Amino acid sequence: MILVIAPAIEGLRREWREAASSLGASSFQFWRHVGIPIMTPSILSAFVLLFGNSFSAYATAYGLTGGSVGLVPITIGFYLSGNVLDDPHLGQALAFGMLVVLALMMLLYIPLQRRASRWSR
Amino acid sequence: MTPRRFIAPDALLWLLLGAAYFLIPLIATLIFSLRSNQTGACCTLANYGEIIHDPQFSKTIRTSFVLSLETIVLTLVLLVPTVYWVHLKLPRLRSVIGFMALVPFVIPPIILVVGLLDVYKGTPTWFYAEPYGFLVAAYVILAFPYMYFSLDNGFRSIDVHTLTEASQSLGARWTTTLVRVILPNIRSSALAGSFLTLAIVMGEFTIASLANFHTFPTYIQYINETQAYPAAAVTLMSFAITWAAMLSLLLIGRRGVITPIPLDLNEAIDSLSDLLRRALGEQVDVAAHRVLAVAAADRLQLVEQRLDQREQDLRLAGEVVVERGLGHAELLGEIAHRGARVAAVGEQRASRLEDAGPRVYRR
Repeated sequence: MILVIAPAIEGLRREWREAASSLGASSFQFWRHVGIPIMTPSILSAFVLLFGNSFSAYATAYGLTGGSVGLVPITIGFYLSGNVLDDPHLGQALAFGMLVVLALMMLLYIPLQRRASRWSR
Repeated sequence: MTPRRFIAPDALLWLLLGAAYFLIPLIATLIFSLRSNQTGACCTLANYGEIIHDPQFSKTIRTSFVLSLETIVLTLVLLVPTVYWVHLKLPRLRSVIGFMALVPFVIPPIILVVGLLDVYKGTPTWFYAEPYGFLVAAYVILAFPYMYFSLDNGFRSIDVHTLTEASQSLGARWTTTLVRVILPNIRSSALAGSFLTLAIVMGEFTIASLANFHTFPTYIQYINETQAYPAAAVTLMSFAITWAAMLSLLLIGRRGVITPIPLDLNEAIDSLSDLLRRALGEQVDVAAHRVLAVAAADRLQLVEQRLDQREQDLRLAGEVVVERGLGHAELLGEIAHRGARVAAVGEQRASRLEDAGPRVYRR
């Protein structure tokens, strides 16, 4: 999150802030009409990245819940390691489903990233 | 003197909040780890003792550490020449490799392990059943983006073309260029990549757990499921160990940086004449002109003193030739270097230094 958002915040130029306040905008109005709209693509792409990250998180989920919550990665883990259920092919199918979802998220990410770099020059 | 900078109060507030965000869980874990495993009463170090004396602890941590070293070495061996070659000869491939490096970012370990278990099925046992085979293969994939992006940054900040040309025109081979010219220049970025790799491998749970290997993270998870208080202790210890490993890598790297590499002028001239012989295909001799410095008699003594002082810095054997110049009839005193052998050849006097450095000629 920080890695994606920090360049966007640095990219907010001081001049925009000054221009806004010399036109009589308050701090809130500046963020509402200038800051946040410019940063929207960056925020959204951070959202996409974090979605992918949490969607596929296995270690944290398994460590915290011990596998009692039926998330996709944990289900894959059960199918693979086969404590109760042992069906690697089902695991593979689930993994491929995850891959499709992640690929879709990446397709969203690339144009967002391009859009975000528009103001960075 | 730069004016002293104060931290603004609101910045300090945010800093404290950030520090609290990281420190409160750590402190809570510490307090929890000090409780007795039987009674839950504070404060005892018994949990730490129990973990340290657990044979599984030292075994798994050694496994994880060897795994990370193996991964680091393998990744460096694979990637340094590749990135070097791409920067030197095939700059158009950079975007392709950059895209390939994104793939392990996008594809999470949980998917990777499903694929790898299937792909590696049927490989020999020493690979498939050993962590040092299977897991390293997986970890090299995981470490690839981190190592690639740090190396790519490092190579972008140096002038690969000039360095290569300079080294080759002094007659170095590809291997020499890579090991003695390029590698020292990208050392910091290679180190940064190695840190990241170490951190990743020391903390990787998904692949190790699903492929049924016993590494340090799976050991932590096992303790976590079975014993509450020692789990906090082992978590803190894993923190400490990872930080210590990083610190030692940093120290090794830093010690390397300040070691000067002596340049042997003779070797450079020899390889230059080698190169010319190879290029021109005939007998070529390269002779270096003597470096002449005209000095008055009293200056000569000063030079000698300096040489004496520097003697321990001068690593390679060399020669100091003192010639009597025209109009400096009363020139020389005895040269008294350690182990110096003075030979008089006509009007010349030569003194040979046992452990002196580059050649110095005085006339």
